[in-house]
Formats: sequence, structure tokens, C-alpha cells
Amino acid sequence: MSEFKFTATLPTQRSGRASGSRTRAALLEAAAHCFLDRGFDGVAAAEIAKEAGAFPNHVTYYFGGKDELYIETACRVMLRAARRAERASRNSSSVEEHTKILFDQLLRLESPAVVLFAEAMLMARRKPKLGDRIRETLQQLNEAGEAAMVVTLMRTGWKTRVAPDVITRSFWPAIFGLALQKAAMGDGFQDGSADAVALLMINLRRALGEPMP
Amino acid sequence: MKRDTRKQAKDTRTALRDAALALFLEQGYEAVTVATISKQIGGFPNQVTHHFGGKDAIFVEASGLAILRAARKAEEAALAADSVESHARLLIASLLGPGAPAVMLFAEAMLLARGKATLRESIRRTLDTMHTVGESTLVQTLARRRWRIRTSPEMVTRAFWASILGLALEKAATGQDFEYESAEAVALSMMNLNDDFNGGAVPPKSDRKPAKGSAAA
Repeated sequence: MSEFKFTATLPTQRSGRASGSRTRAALLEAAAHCFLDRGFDGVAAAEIAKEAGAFPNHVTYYFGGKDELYIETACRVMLRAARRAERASRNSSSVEEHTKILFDQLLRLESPAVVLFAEAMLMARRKPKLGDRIRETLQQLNEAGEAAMVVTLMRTGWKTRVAPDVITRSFWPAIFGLALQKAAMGDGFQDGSADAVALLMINLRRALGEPMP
Repeated sequence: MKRDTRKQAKDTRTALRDAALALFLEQGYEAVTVATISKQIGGFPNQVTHHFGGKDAIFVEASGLAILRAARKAEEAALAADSVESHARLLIASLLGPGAPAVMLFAEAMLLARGKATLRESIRRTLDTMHTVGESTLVQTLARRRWRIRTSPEMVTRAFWASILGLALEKAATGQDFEYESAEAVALSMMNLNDDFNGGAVPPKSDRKPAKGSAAA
């Protein structure tokens, strides 16, 4: 609808690829900051543009709209959170510790990023063309997670009961589900569920002795 | 006299909630208004406000009901299971298949409840029910089948629901292209908690369906 207006004012004054990609990067950075702070509904595209020192129509020009910018931001922020969590768990001495650190990172320090990504996944439901970027991100999460798990296993010499890709593939849905619960419950979030999933992950590697009554 | 009015009010409330549930499942949160909900029962928009407090509140309550119903259907479907493997798979298949819209609705409600104390209470009640009902059903299943698990039924149930919610999100985003490999991974993890399931018998990667190129051994 309003796209006609926007195409008439394409940013021609700052021509060249370099300045273009700079604007794009600035928009992404501002978007990450704003969305993490206030969520999708709490931020207008114009505010992001303002913080990035760009014009509102730049959002449309570089991304296609606020929805697309949101998805792109959520995917980047999620991947960054995963990288940080992985870095934090890199020197863990056991798979147990590895799992605990990952949980702590993703459900505490990085939980705003995980929730942002959860919201992006739900948004893509009604707008299927947004799903491609998310699918790509999920794949990257799974592959990176699997690689990290293999490295930890090699270092610690632990044996898994199932293949490492099974562990990482069941790891991410659990993290997303827990992040949702935490988002909804806030301070009332029961760590019981997080503990349960951590235990489940640890269980994938060895029996924890006798079954509980 | 008084009881009659109270009963009437309760009926109106239930009718509104059911109408809302059907509309939300069909059209999603955004597209449905308080006016369309009340119109379904031949009422007025202010009835929604009166009985629930607003659109958000009726959405959260309706979605809670939706996921609890989906859970019951999944349990029914899983009764047919003849092995540990098929039990986990039937539960997951039901919740990510016919039950998926309900699970996604509840996921949306959880995000909506962020920072809103009144909505949070409703979410908490639903989660509690999901956990307690799931746990007691699991206990019954284990007793009937004489299956044993490595951790407590409560732990399994909590891990199960967290995973289902996450899988529903992935499915919401990827739609037709949802990688059932992730659902299969969750199923495998659940099966592994069962003492009678031989973890060592998990087929090597190459034998499982959609093989992914990787150096993992």
C-alpha cells in the first residue's frame, strides 16, 4: 500500500554499496537493541531508524518491512546467544557441566534473545515467507550444537547412549519451550522444569543408577 | 432465584469461552475481536469484558482449555501403543499433528502473558494441570505396562511438555517443511529414559531416515 511512497524516496543520496551495507548494519544493531528491550509490539520501525541514524523508509528498503527486520534480528540475536553459550561451556570438564552451563546461559543471561526468537517463530506461522530465514537458523543451531557436543565428547571421553545430533535436536525444542514458560511466568518460573530437561539430557549419556520409586 | 442468575452467568461465560476458542483456533489472535466473539452467542462485546476482563484474558483462558483438550486426545491416542517407542511417538504425533494448532495457541498465550500478573495466573494453572495430569497418566501407564523409567514421572512429564512447546514453535515457523527429525530426536530422548528400552540399540545415524552429513560418530 504505502510502498509506492517509499520507492519514490529510495536513498539515492548515499549511493554505493559500502554506505548501504553500513546503514543496513546500523539498522540491525538498533533493531536488536530496541526489540530486546521492548519486544515486537513495543517498537515502531521509525524508532529503530532514528536510533540507527537512518530514515524510516530505509527499513522497507533494506528489509521489506518491520516484520522482516524483526525476523532477521531475532535470528541473528539467537545465533549470537548460542555462540556465547557455546563459548561459555567450551572448557567444561564433563558433559554434565556442559549441559548445566548451556542451560544457565540460555535461560538466564540470554533468555531475552531466546524469547525474541520464539516470538519470531510464531509470527512466521501467519506469514510463511518469513519461515525460510528461521528454518536456516534452526539448521545452523542444530549443526553448531552438534559440533560442540562432539568436541566435548571427544575431550571428556564420554560415551553417549544416542548420537550427538539426537541430543542437540532434542535440546533446542526443550530450550524454546522452557524460555516460553519463563517468559510467561517471570519470577514465578519453576526451575523444576529446567532441571527436568537438564536431567533428561544428562540421562542420554548414562544411566543414573536405580530408577526412582 | 439467585442461583438461577448465577447459573445463567456461568453458562454465558462457558458459551463465550467456547466460541472464542473456535474463532481463535481458526483465525488466530489478531483477526478475532471481542465483538465477533460475542456475536457468536448473540451477545454484546461488553459481556466479554464483564466475564473475562478483555480479549487477552479470554484468549489466554481459551488457549489453556485448547491445550488441555489436545493433551487428553494425545493420551487417548497413546493408549493404543504396544511398545515404549510407539507410546512416545503417538503422544508426539498427536500433539504436533491434530493438536498442533492448540499447542501453538497456548505458546502464543504464554508470550502474551509476559509481565501481566493476571494472565500469568491463568497460564500457571494450565501448566500445573498439564504437569499433574501428565504425571498421573504416566504413572498409570508405567504400572499397567510394567515399564520402568530412570527418572521420576514428574521429571519426564516436565521435560516432555517443554519439548512439545518448543517443537510446536519450530513447526509454526517452518510449516510444511517442519523437520520431523527434531520430533524424532525428542521421541528418542524420551524412550531412552525407559529402562526397558535398549539405548545401545539405537540405529546408527546412517540408518535413521533423513541422514544429515556430519562427522559425528
